[in-house]
Amino acid sequence: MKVSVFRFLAAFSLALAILNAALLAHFAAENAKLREAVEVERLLCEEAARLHAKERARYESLYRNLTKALEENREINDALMEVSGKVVVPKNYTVILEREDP
Amino acid sequence: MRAAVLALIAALLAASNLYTYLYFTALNSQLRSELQQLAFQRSRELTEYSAISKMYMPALEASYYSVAEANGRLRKVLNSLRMDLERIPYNYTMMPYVEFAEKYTFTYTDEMREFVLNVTGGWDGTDEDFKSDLYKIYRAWRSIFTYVSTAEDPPAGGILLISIGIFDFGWIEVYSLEGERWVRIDYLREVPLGYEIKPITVGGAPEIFHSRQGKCRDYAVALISLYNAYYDASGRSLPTIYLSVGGRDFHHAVVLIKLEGDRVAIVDWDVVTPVTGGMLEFVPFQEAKRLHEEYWGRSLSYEGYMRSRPYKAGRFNSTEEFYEWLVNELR
Repeated sequence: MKVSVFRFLAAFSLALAILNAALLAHFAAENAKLREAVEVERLLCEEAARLHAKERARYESLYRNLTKALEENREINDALMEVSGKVVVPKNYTVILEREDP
Repeated sequence: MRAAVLALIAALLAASNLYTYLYFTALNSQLRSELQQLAFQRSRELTEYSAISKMYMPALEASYYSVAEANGRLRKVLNSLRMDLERIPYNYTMMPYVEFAEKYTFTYTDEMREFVLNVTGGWDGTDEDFKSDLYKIYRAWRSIFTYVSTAEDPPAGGILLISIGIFDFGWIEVYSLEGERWVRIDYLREVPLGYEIKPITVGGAPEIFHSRQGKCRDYAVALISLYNAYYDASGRSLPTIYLSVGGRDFHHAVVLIKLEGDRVAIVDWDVVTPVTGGMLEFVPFQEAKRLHEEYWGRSLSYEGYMRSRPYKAGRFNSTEEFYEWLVNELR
């Protein structure tokens, strides 16, 4: 009886040791794969972020240029509006125009 | 004893198995979560990148080139206009046409000032001489002025008008990354007719005085300017207005001079109010109006006015309204 218990325990322990090793190997491999995937994903994400940031910077730069162009457009508009409908009055006319009420 | 040791080892191995399983399960679950987050973040970055490059950027580029092209066209027009203004061979100032017209209508020249001083001999400081001078100025102007129903416009002279026919505005729509929304912006696209600097006809008192002819309007405008010249030379002035007179099928213009309160003198083609001893006489408004209606043989209404320095104009809906204004506001 004692011999058979001893054998069972020995076999069970051996099985547990094998299972342990198998678990360790399986999870370690899966872990390594996941780490690699995370690393690859991190690189891809960084690349996407770089791409996005670069495009955003290009957009913002062009937007600034547009803002400047619109500002120039407003200045030209103001300058044209300023003179439109005005009369060019020679100095000899302005002398008489500026006569004040006594 | 050996069996007990083996049992202990088996228990330890079982615990180790459990621990390994739990540890790696937790660790890998964490890695999966991290992977998922990174994938989500990458997807977001790519979505935003894609939105910028495929939607916002083309609209922004098209908008920028539209505005830049418009600026190029407009800059050419503006530069050309500035160069043309620089070529004008005399000193000048620029002012809005309306402001010029308002100032110029009742202005006077040195020639007109000389005319007034010759006619009056200047003011001696007495009331009598002042009223007499006002009458002399009227008489002198009336004697040289000829009524013509179709007076020709004076020739275009040294006054140039800058005219930019049409301002054609357009709009662009761009995405604001800061505001996270599409914004619509107006801009000046072009001035399709360009610009024109052309001589214009000005018909103020100086031209009327020079031609010595015209209609009632011209007669009244020039007479007011002659009075202005006299007021400036003498250092004393009375409120003097151009008065639009209406009646049935009748439109006319006269000069009204206010002394004080409601005492006025009205100068039509003739002086309507009394002239005593060669002096304008100022009578109460109702009396002046009665004399004016008697002069024309019809009922009259005073419909509007213009005055100079500073230029003002207005309309009246009734004689009562005119009277209120005459007494309380005309100074």
